[in-house]
Amino acid sequence: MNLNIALGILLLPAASAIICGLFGKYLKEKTGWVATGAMLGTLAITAILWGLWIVDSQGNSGYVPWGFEWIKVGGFSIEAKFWVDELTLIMLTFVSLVGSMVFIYANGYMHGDPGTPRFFAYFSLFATAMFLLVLGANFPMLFIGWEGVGLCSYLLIGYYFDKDFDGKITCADAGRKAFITNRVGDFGFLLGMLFVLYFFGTLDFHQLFKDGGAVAGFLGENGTAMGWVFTAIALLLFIGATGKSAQIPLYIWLPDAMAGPTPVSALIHAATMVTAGVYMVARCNVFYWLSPEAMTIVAIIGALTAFVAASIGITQRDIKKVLAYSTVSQLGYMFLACGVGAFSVAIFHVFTHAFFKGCLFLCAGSVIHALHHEQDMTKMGGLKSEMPRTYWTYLISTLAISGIFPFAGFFSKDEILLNTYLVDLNIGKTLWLIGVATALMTAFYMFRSVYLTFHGKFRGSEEKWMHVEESPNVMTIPLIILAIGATTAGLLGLPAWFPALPQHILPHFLDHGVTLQGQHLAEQFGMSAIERHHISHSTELGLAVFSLLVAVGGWALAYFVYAKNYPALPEKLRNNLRPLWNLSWNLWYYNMFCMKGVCGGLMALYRFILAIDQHIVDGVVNGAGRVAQAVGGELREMQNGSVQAYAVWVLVGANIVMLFLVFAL
Amino acid sequence: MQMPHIIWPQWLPFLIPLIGGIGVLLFDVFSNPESSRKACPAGAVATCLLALIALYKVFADVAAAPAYLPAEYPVFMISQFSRDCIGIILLGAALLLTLSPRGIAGKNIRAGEYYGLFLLSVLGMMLMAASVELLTLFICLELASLSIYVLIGIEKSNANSGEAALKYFVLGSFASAFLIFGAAFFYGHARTTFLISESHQLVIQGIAPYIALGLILVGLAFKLALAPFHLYAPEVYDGAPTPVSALLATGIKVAGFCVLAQALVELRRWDALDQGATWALVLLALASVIIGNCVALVQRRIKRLLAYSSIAHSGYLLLGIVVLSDVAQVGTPQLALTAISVYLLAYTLMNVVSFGVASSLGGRFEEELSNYAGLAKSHPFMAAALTVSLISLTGLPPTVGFIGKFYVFAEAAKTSYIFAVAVAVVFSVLSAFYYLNIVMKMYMQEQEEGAPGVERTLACDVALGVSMALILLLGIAPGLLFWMM
Repeated sequence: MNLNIALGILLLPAASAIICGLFGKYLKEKTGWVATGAMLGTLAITAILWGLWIVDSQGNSGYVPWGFEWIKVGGFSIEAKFWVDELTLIMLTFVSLVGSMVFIYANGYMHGDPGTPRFFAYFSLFATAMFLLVLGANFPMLFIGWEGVGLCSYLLIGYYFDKDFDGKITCADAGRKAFITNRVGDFGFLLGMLFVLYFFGTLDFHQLFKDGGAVAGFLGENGTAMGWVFTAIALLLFIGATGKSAQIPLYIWLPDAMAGPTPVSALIHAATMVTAGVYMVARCNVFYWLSPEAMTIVAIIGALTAFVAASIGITQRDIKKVLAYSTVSQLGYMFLACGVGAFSVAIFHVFTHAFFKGCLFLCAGSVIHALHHEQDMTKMGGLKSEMPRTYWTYLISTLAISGIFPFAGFFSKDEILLNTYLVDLNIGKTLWLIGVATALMTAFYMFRSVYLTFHGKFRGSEEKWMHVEESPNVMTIPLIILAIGATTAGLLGLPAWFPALPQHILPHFLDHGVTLQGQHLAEQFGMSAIERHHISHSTELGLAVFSLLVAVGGWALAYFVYAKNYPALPEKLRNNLRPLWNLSWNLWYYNMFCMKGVCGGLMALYRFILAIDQHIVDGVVNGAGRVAQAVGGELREMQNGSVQAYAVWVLVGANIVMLFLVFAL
Repeated sequence: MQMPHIIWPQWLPFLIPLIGGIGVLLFDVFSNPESSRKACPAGAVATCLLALIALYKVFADVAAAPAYLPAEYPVFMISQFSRDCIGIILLGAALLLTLSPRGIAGKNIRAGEYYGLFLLSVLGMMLMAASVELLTLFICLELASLSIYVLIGIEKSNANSGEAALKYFVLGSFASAFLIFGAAFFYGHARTTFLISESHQLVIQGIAPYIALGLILVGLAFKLALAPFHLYAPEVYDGAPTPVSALLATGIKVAGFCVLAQALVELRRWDALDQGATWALVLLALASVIIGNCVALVQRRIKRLLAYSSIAHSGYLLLGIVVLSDVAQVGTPQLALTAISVYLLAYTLMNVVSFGVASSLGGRFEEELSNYAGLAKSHPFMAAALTVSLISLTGLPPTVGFIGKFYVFAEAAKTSYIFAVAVAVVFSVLSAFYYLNIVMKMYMQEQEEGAPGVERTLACDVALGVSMALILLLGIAPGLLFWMM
């Protein structure tokens, strides 16, 4: 058995997408089980890949043997090739695991919806594209997956294309917004790719990054003189990442992406697709390591995004929007980790985040399902008694995301904060403070959502309360499994001060293979890379306790405001802190700026171009068409049906040919 | 003269269609019409597929050095390029034969005659593509043409069919006269009838050989329907049974381009070409592109439109051929030959589908374009197939038509005749008007009231499905082309 089995991970969901798409009419809701079966198959194959990895004493990464030359133009060729290494395995693991859970859950959630086959066809197609993104051995393969997930995201956000989303825009608009915003990022990504091809001559990750590969060769030739190349590539690729992973300035699409069905929000807009940017940056860590400037920018953008999104999350009323902003905020943490050179920790946070954020969204879905599509938290409350499973899993995930010991988020987030604290940068401590402040807000708004949704009295209509009941097993069992993950995933990255158990398993695993490639190169060629201070384990422990206290503080504050003194105190706070509240509620006015400023400007430009197009370009095109038609009408006269005339034309042609040949004009 | 020693396996790819063709003819004589209607097409398709397999088995390694047949008097040469051309002819023929039972149904045509002649004309095209000696070339061309003259007029009850056959016969003979006259001139001055030969060098001096080459070019240009020798094409395509029109548009052109390309490669190898020859080719190409596209714009009948479209495509292909004759070019012509063979494959597949849809639907769908309104609703599969082939003909991704056009234009742009490429690109944009007009009709207009539906047959679905899949697959993963060829 060899790595070719990894192709199954691509083929199973692809087959499922085709089956659900073509035979959905006959299979109806059975498509759900087809898709779920395919997804469980990918989980099994991932397990086999792990088995192979462990059995293989070398433990080496490698190409999947099967592959073909996809496009060839002269000396340049793009190959359809796939690659498995440490980073791929980690990504495959949580995508297939969380994916399987969400697929199972979706069977319950989509029950009774006439569009189910369409949903599962898109969902399977998404899985195919996501796996392609992760398995691709070169930039073009990654890019196809990248665009593929973007397309599926668009299709699924607009799944309820005939419905309104939040009164302001329709679901179809939300889909378009996501797609167009991503296109802006893709522009940067494509440019970055072209830069890579131009300077290094290959787009294959292994050829680029391996010891003695294209980047090393480039460094050997040019030394540090061409450092700007790395900064340019790193920043261009990062623009792509800000689009896909919803960072400043392109984060505006993600909250609106909540227009899709909730399983979509859980899988695509929380656990997997949005982490593609982090994956890509980690995959290309070499470019970042070689450009401390680019890394600093990544860190700053990450920290700012984390802070801004968390501050917006505090006032939102729609439960899914709270979670959406919390996703943006957590993604900010991940990029902060990348920016301070802790790529493996970023992926570790991606990993733990997939579990607790997937779980949170699915719980929200369960609540929304029970309340017949009510998403406003001010119309919920007291659901704890009626939906115990949903409540407990939501609570566990909230503990995890808030960073309460010993849940998964505590370990991964703490590791990010620690690395930020240690980084040898002027603004390192500032970034750390922003991170801590974000942690405080995270605990606050997450527990706010717990108390508003599950505690107190129900604030909705009597009729709705009558129908509230726990979701069926098909929905709650995935919740429980994900909650277990949210509790235990932290074991894979225990900090250095933790006694007895093996520490840093997952980060070390990644550092061994992928995420330190760039640092080695930088050392080898004597380039300045970002460095970190060292501190004792007891200081580390002290920092961990501090961030735990901060999280508990946020929790206590939320309890005080939203459990003890609801609704009087929140009302009072809102009135007294009006400017701050407005800023948060109105999304820092950034959305408005985008709509009025950017889109307005573009619309003006569009009208100008339209005028040119209608009057000048169309005129030329239509004119050309008319001329051609007139010419055609005349030339048709040659076709008069008379054989003799045709023979004469043959003679005319022959004479012309002879003239040219003989007299060599 | 000593009888040439024949090595049997090398002839196998050519013997199979010969035996198959005669076999089908004889089978029809000795069996009742009902069973021959079923058995003949099956046998014919199997013959083509067998020949295709044999071709690639026998000539598996011609890429290194071409094979000459027969060894003592090598009138045929199988190079990698000509092998691929023959393969394309056979693939196209197999697909068209699969489409034929539906295409000739209800037209009072005897199965044995039709399929037997079809196979024999395919054999003629195969041999023509391989021939490097002028007399052999002439004989093979006539074998293909004579069978096709009969096939065009095989629908005895249809006056148009008969008229088309007569016109093609008269004009075809006229063009053949040019070819044979050219061959005679060539022999008179070069003292050989071999255009390409392993053993001796071609010596060309003076004006006479150029006259000879010009006459031969005219003879071939007629078969390739290049303007201004194209005038027969619309009427003949319109009158002939649709699968035969498709064979005229694909097989014979593939063979003709193969001969032309190989001859030019050889002539350039001996420095026997000058600017004038290239200019003549450029001029023919541009005339075909311009006339083909402009007149296609004003056509109202589907097969006439496809005829003009195929004239335009001959023009694009000839631009690829120009690369081979451009004296300023250096290096091996391998890339240009690959580009041409990719285009020929693309061209064959998309014409098989577009003619195939017309023939599968039959009746009014072989006539006025307006009948295609609302086809997407009544026959979604046919509409999808036709759409794919029209998009491919327009040359848009993700279809093999785009890949072929891209390669040919990219090659041609390397020559000093880049203005010709520019003109071709502009007119290729223009072609979107009439190709996509049909798509628009099928998907956005309503069907006429009370139009009867058409029964689908499995064979047609399979042939169209396979071709459509190939068009898309090779368009998405063009790397497969090089793996196959």
